[in-house]
This record gives sequence, C-alpha cells and structure tokens, in this order.
Amino acid sequence: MSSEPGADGAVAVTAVSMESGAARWSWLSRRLGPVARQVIPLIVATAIVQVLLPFRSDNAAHVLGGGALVMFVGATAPRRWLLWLGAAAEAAMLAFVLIVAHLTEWTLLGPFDVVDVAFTMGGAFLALAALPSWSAEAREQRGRLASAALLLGAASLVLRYLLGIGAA
Amino acid sequence: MTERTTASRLIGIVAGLSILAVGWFGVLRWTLIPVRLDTRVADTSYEGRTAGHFRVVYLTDGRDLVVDREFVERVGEKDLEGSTIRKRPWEDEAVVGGATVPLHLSPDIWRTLIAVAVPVTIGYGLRWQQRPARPGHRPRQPQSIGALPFRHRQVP
Repeated sequence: MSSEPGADGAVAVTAVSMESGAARWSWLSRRLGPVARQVIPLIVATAIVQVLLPFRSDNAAHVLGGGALVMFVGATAPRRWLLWLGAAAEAAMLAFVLIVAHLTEWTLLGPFDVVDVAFTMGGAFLALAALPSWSAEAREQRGRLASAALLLGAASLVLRYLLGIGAA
Repeated sequence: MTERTTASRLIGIVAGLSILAVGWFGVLRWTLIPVRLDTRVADTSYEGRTAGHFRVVYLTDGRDLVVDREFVERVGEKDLEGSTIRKRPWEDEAVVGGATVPLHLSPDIWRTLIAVAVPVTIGYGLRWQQRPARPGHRPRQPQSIGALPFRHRQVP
C-alpha cells in the first residue's frame, strides 16, 4: 500500500480513462464500416505526425503513403490468398512495402533516408492492423477500400509536393 | 486459427519493434552521436523542404550526413566548412577543427523520435483490440451506425 493515496488515485484514474477510451473506440469501430475503420486511424496518425513536425511534410506523407499502399494491395489481392496465407500475408505485405519503400527512396523520392523508410513502414504497420477484418469483406467493400487507398495515395503526394510545407 | 493469430501477433511485435529501432537509429544519426567520423567537411547546405531545421554536411570521404541545425549553429557555418571532424561512435562530443563540440538531442530530434513512434503505437493499439476469442465467447455482431444503444421494449 502506498502512503500517498493521491498518487494511486491518479494512476487509477489514468488507467480507467485509457480503458474507457479504448472501449469507446471499440464501440465506435463496431459501428463504422470497414473503410472508415481503416482510414480514420491512418489519417489520425498522419495528422499527429504533421502536428509534431510542422516544418516538414515528407514524414507525414510517408505514413499516409505506406498505409495507402498496404490498403491497396490488401484490397486488390485475391481474398482466398489472404485467408489461406493468414499471418504469412502480413509478413509478405510488410516485405513488399519494405522493398517498394527502398526502391522509391533510391530512385523517385531520394536522397535515401532510412527514417523515411521507417515512416513508410509505420504507416504500413498501422494499416495492416486491420487486415484480418477486411480480408473477409465482400467484393464491394474491398472495392471501396481500394478506391480509398488510391485517394490516400494521391493525398500523400499532394501533402509532400504541392502544399509547400517546409519549402524555403 | 489460434496459431495464425499467435503468429500474426508475433509478426506484429517483431515488425513494430524493428520499425521503431531502425527509425530511432536513423533519427539519432542526425545528432552524429552513433556515427564514427575522422574526415574533413567539404561543404554544407540546407536539407530540402525542412524549413532550414536540418542541414546537410558533405564530407571529403564521400558521405553526405543530415544533421540538425543546432550542431551547425554551435560550431558556426564558416568554421565548419573545411575543418577536420573527429569522433568515435556513440560518443556525445565531436572534435571539430581542434575544438570540442557537445552533441545532444535537440527539440526537433525529440519531436521526430516521438513522431516515428506514433503510427507504430496506434498500430499496436488496434492490434491489441483484436484479442483472440476466449473459448465459449461469442463475438458481438457489428451494428449499423444508427443503432440505438438500448433494447427495444417488448410490446405485449
């Protein structure tokens, strides 16, 4: 037992509020469609990264781009493969994004910076969290997810190149 | 199915930690702390699209290093160009042109370290919600967005 009940109370309140926050998201995510369930966390993560680093937009764009890539591949890959491969599908998608991130960093988006690759992989990791739920979705929902992925991919390019954040 | 879930969780843990480790190591390189240097600075320039927060140091050994601007400001841009720079890996000071310069984590570096962790943390949070089903537990069915959070009263 602690001699300072206030400290215990603060920890308990924090734990309860975190638990209730997770429960609230859980409640909300059950009511959202698969596309919104996937897109909202990705946009939230991108927004937080952009707020933390207001002087540059490439890092936030990498998060959005990595997530969009995983969403697109997951939505267009044959559902049978995803269900059959299970966890191996996640590993394969991460490997695919890692290769694409490296290739684009060496060629289109360079000069090569391993931090950019880490941000891209972070976005992919976030988007992959929802893979088990949408790999079983119907073709119509997966089509919507692919469209959302294309839009997010375009948004990441706009964020990086057209908004002019950090340009001298 | 449980095996797949366990494998998926394992992949998640390994992938998330790897992303954090690589990202944080990459960001730490901008402080020069993990880098070994025994060379001369050929030139400096601004890192593109970072509003001057990061600089590029061109070394005579062929390396181009991104550094945070506080390092360049501490040494002085004019003093940095053409001077020798020496340090051992993981040493928190560098010898630039004979003068010892302390290396530390600037606010921009801290912000970037936190930013790398943001998508990974949210990803872990989402994965944590997908706990494997307990034996005998029936998952709740998804409801429409307009569903009311109470039961309709039975009309006799």
